[in-house]
Amino acid sequence: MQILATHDLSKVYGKGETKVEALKPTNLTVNKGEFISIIGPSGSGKSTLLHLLGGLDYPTSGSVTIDGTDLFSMKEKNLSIFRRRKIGFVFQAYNLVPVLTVEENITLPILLDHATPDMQYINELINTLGLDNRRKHLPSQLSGGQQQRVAIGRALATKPSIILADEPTGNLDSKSSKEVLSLLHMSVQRFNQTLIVITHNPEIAEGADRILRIEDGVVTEVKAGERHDG
Amino acid sequence: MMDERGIALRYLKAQKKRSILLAFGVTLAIALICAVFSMLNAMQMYTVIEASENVIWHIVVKKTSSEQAGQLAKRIDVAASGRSLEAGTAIINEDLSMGLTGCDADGANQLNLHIKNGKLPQSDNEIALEEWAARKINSKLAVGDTITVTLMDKTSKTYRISGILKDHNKNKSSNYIAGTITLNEAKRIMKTDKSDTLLQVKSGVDIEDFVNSLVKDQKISKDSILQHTTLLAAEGRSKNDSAKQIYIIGGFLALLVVFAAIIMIYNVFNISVAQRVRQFGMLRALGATPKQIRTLVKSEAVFVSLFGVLPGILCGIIATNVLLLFLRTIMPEYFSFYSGSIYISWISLVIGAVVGILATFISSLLPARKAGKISPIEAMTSVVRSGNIKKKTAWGILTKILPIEAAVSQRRLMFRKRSFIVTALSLSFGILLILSFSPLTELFKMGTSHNYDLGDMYIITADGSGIPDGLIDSIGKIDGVDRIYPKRMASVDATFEYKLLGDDYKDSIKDGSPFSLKADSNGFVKPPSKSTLIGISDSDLNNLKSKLVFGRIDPNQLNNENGVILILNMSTSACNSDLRPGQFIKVGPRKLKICGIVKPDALMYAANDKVFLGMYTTEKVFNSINSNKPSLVTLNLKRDADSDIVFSKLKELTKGNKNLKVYNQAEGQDVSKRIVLVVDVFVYGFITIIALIGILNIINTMSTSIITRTREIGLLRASGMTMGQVTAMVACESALYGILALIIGLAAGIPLHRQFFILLIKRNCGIPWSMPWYLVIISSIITVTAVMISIISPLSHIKKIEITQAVTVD
Repeated sequence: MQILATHDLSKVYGKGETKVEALKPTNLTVNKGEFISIIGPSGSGKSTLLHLLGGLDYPTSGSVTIDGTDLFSMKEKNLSIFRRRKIGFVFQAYNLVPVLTVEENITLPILLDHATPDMQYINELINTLGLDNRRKHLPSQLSGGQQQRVAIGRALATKPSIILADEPTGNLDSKSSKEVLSLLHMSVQRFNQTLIVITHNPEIAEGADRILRIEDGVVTEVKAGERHDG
Repeated sequence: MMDERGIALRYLKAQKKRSILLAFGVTLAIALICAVFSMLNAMQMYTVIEASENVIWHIVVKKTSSEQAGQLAKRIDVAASGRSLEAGTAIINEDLSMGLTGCDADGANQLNLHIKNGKLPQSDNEIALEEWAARKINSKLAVGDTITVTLMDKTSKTYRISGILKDHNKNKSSNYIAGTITLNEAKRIMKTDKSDTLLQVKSGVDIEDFVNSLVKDQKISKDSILQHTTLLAAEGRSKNDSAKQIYIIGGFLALLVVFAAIIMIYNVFNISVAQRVRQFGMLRALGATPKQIRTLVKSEAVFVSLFGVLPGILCGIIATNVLLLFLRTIMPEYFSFYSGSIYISWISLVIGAVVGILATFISSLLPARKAGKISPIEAMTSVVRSGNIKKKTAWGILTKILPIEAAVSQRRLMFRKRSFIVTALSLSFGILLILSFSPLTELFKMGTSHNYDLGDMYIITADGSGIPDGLIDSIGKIDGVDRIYPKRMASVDATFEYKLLGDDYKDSIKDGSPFSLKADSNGFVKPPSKSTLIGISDSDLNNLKSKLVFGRIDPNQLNNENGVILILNMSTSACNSDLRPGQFIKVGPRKLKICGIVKPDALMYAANDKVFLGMYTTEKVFNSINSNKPSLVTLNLKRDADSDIVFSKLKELTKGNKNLKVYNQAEGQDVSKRIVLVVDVFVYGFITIIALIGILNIINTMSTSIITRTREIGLLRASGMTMGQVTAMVACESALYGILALIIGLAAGIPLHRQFFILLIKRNCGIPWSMPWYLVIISSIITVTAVMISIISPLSHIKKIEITQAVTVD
């Protein structure tokens, strides 16, 4: 089942001599439950693509459809609401709200809906992430790995259609990176999540169902045979 | 080689937006301090001019011989002297009296008598009058004319008008006619060869030492030495208690402004340091000592204050000149020292600039200390520190009971408790001042509005008989008259039961006290004088409702229950202050029920200035007690009416009837109203400055707070927070400042209001304290306005935040 599709999606910055095509027209489809990694050199357009897929930025042309909904046909308010319910984000810099506890940071998208969280699910999530004894702690009281786990929990809290992760292990040591990676794998399988990850980590990339390479704004799919060539 | 001062300057140049914000805060603080000191200086000059309006002497030595006067004049510590003697009251036209004062030419200077036309009296048959007084006696009176008066000894004397003097506003506003005669003539009238010696003491001479030297060296009795305490206090030379109070109040106000300014600048620096934790951490990691970091922050403060001094001084000059222009428009007599060109009080500006720079430096000390404590590790991690959390706390309740927007705001402020409280405190100062100054201005207005109740002019019969009906109609038809208010008045014997009185009042009327009153054999207080019963129309009764203190005003109730509305009496402070609605006053054999009590009213003294009680009632009740027709008609003029013309027409209408007295209040009322406006401008000017500092503080705090949270807000937006929810979050945060400010301001201000009210108003006229709801509402409106204004700039910044930039690692 198709969960995400783009049609001629592109992003251009500047005009004339300063014009930069961060992303050239891209057509992409993602099925539910797929784990996709995006690789490419620095400045190739990986984050641009991810931000457009998540509705954080507006394209110069083209469209993104998630779960049948054209993101950019919505008004800002509806896009925000869609984002909180249907898309989960994990950023490289954990980006937690410093004044909210672990539990509150995880349930933030639900609180933004003024809804009551399903605590059974949330508790299961917190336990799965190994954060049970840190529920009431603030981000400043956690290690980097723990903070990233909270960010993952936040991304999963609303059982979104898709999770977008921008270099989720970029700021972590190898041990924490492995923990985070295994958590992401587990949640994809356990909760049947669709996951798109930007990464420089070959291990993560290798573990994905599909690998997309971006270079100079052009997105190409890395065939199975090419994978070990890096 | 660059040191921390050089680095400080570089930081300021590199971070233009932040530096401008800092400099703006400092500029504002210096501008406000300069403006306050200039205002204090202007106020001091005003009080000197106002105090010296009637007399400019500092000391009077009573009953001195010519020889003594000469010796006093020759003293090296005396700047100028003169001689004068009061010669009692002279009756002019049966309905007009005049206070006579004799003086020599030097004495005229000391009494601030300045000739407009003609000259000072040279012979014993001459008299000089103020211009308004001459017009009041006879609208055509001029130099060379004569007036005949009856002196104290009942003899008649005709004086020739030698000169017209410049008006003294105090005499004008209180309708006191002062006639100036020669010193010899005054001595003749008073049958004495002694006079008073008026002395102006040189500046720099201690007044107490001067007085002691008069007693010791010149053997003058201390009882015969008078000090002009008001002028000495205004000049800062009096050690008198009331003078000290003025100094204390002035000093308190200046300190309050400086304190509020320090809070504002402290907040700005505090947030600035919080924004640069990683920068300071990096400097520490590179080897800077905590002392060097502190020096860096303090250097920034000094640079910023220097940038802010010149604009601050300029703003202060502009603010002061705008204020003086306004005041000069209202009271040119007292603000003539302001010529319309730019007024600069150099001393105020120097004090303001120095204090402003010092205040900035002091404000930076705590933030500097905080910056010095930042550890190098802060630079190494991208973890956002949210405060010094030492232990696990039981969080999580707020988000369960409040919407997330409110919970985040509240939680954020709890993490910055000091800044939160400090900002709210500065906003609460304005509320505190509004509440605590209100009784003072209310008392002042009550005193000066004394004349308002008698309208712009009034006509009254000398013997209490009715004014002819036809005349009342004619008065109403005079061009320039807006409305007339005929009033029936009767002088009655009124008493009330001694047992109704409170203990304080009973204590004040016991034997030996100034207001000693006895109860008669029936237990009723025996009054020392007659009381005034005033019968007015139902619509006029309803107009009294704005002055109601107790009970209610209902003409039907008054008619049905033989009711009266009691007038509180200000001149005898203990009188009738304990009487309440429901109690009874006996007028002859009749029992009249007190249905309501109103604020003091000059009307009750129209016929007799020694009235025991004053009471209003309906015409029906009045008729049942007394059949007097209206004996008093007060009238209000139209806005564009010429009061002199109307007054002369009134005089013309009443010319043939010696029983009718006509009084012109118009000029005095105008002066009173303007004086009240001047006081309001000063008092509320100060309050506005303090309130402004508080409002700007919260605007600054909110703006800077949002700027430091760009990333957090970007994240919230990325997580699905709509712009509306972000707005609500920011509004909640601002509202919390307002709520705390209101709580602090009202919690401190209401008790202060009560204390001052009891001290100033209840003690003077018995009006009890009641909750000043209208001030609470005004304070709330100001707070809400401040809160709403404070979110405009932050929201404008938030709209510009690009989510993608905010969430990307830098």
